[in-house]
Amino acid sequence: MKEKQNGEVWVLAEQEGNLSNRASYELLAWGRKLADEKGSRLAAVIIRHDTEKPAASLIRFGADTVYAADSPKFAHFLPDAFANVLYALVKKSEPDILIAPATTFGRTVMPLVASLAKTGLTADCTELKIDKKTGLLLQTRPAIGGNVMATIITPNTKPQMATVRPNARKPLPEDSSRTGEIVFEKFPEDALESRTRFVKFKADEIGEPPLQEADVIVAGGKGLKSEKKLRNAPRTCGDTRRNSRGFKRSRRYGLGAVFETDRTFRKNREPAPVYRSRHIRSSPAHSRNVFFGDSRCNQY
Amino acid sequence: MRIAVLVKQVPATDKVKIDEKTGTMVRSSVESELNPLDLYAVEEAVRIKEHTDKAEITVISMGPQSASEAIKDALSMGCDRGILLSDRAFAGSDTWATAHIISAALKKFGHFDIILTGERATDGETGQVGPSVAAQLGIPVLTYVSKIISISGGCIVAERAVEDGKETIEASLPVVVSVVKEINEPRIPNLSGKLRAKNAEIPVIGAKELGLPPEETGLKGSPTRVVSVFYPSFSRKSTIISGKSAEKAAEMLFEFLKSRGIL
Repeated sequence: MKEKQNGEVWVLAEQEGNLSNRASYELLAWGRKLADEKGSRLAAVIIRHDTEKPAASLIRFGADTVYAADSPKFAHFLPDAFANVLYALVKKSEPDILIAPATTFGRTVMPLVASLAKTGLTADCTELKIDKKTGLLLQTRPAIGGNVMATIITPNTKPQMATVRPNARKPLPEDSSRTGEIVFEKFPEDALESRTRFVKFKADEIGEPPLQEADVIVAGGKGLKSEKKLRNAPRTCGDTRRNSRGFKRSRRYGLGAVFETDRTFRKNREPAPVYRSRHIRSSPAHSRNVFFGDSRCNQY
Repeated sequence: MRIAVLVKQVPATDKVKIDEKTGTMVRSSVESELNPLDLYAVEEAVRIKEHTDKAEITVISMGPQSASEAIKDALSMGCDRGILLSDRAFAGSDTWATAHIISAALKKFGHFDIILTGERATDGETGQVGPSVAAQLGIPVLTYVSKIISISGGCIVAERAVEDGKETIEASLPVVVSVVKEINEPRIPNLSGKLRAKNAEIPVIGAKELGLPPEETGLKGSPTRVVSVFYPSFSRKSTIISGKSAEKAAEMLFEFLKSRGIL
C-alpha cells in the first residue's frame, strides 16, 4: 500500500441495533484525539442495515466523514462478508489508521481484515497516540494478565490497525451543530456473499448495563457483616435518607456502588448471587448505574 | 471427518518476567503448561469425535521444542496425533506471522473440516490467531462459540456468546471455530491416555518443510514491532501537605478536608 503522509483515521462503528452505542462513541473520542494529533480527518465506517440515523449520530459525536455500507444482508453480523466489505473500503481509500472496539464484533472482524490487508493489528489497546517524530501510531496494551504493558508499532504497512478496550476513554459530548459528509458506499454483489448465515438471537435475561459502564464504583466487603446489610447497601448509598450525609454526597458525586460479597455470607454453598445492577436516581438530573455483585462475577 | 486443534504452550504462572531490552518473555524462569483456554477446544474436538464416525483429531502447536509437552497433554485427553511447528526462523512471530505459519501447516497436512481454537492464549491475550488463520485460508470463522448445535451436511450450526446474548449462526465447512469456557467441562486424562501420549512421536516441522521463505516468518514476517515494554505502576493519588509549622500544616489539612466536603 502506498505511503500517505496524511491518510485518514478510521474508526469502525460497533454493529448493534440501538443508536446509543457507547463503544462507537468512545472510539470516536480516541479517533478524534489521533486525527487532531496528526492533523488529518476522522472518518467512521458503519456496516449495517439502515445506516442513515446512526451515521448522523456518528457525526454528532466527532466524525468528519461517515462511510456507510448499507444492505439488508448486514442486519446481522456475518464475519466474512463484513470483513470483505471493510477490506474493499480500506483498499479504495487507504486510511492511515483503523481502530475498532475490542468487542466480540471488533475482535472478530479486525483480524480478518488485517490478514487480508497483510498489515499489523494490536489487540486490546488501552492507550493510543501518535509518535511526533515518525508520525506512527503508538499502540499500548497490557499483556500477561496486566503484569506488563507493551507499546507496539506497525512501521511498514498501512493501515495501522488496533482494537481498543471499551471504557478506556469517555465519549465526546454530543454536538448537534457538527456537520459532516455521509458517503453511501456501493458494493458488487459478490462482496456481500457470505458462507455464514444468521439463524437467531436470544438476548440475555439480565437486561441491565454491565459493570464497565458504571460512572463510579464503590466496593464493600466483609465489613458489612450480613447478606441483608449487603443487599440494602446500594439503597443506603443512594436515595433513601433524604437528609443524610450519604445522600447529599451521592447527589454531589452521582454515586454508584459495587458491593462485593464474601463466600462466608453464603450458606449451604448456594451458587453465587446473580450479578445485578440497579438504577438509582440520586437527583432528577442524574441517573447513575449502581451495581452490586460478587467477586466471582466474570466482570472482575 | 478431520479435525485440527490449534494449541499453545504458555507460562504456567501469571508472574512472568519480561526482558525490558528485547521485549520478549524470559521463558527459562517459569514452568510451562498447555494454555488453559485451549483445554476447551481440545475437549470439544474429542466430544465431536465421540459422536462422529471416522473422525481424527490432529493437534498443532507452534513453539519451542518444549511445546511438544503441551501437545502431549492434548493427546492424553483423546486426540490422535500431534504436529509441532518449530524453527529458529519462527521466533519473534507476531499474530499475522504465526497465523501464516499455521495456515501453511494446515494446507500441507490438508483437508481439515473443522479447526478448533481456544478463545485466546493466557500469555499474549490477543485472540487474533484463530480468525487470522481463517482469513489466510479463505474459510469462514465462528468466534466466541459457546455451544456446537449440529454438524451435518457440510454445515455447522453453533451458538456464539456475544455481549448481550446468544447468537445462533450457521457456516459451511471447512470452518475455524474458537470456543469460550462455557462450552464444556474439560476432562481429566485417564491413565491409558497419559501412557499413549507419553509414547507418542511428535514430528517437528520447520520452515523448509512448509515451503516458507524467511521473509514470511518470525520477526521479518511480522508487520508489528514491540518498541517498549514497561511494568505499570499502580499508585494511590496522594497529596503531601508540608508547612513551616505544625499549626500551618494542620490549617491546610483542615481547609483541604473542608473543600472536599469531608468536614
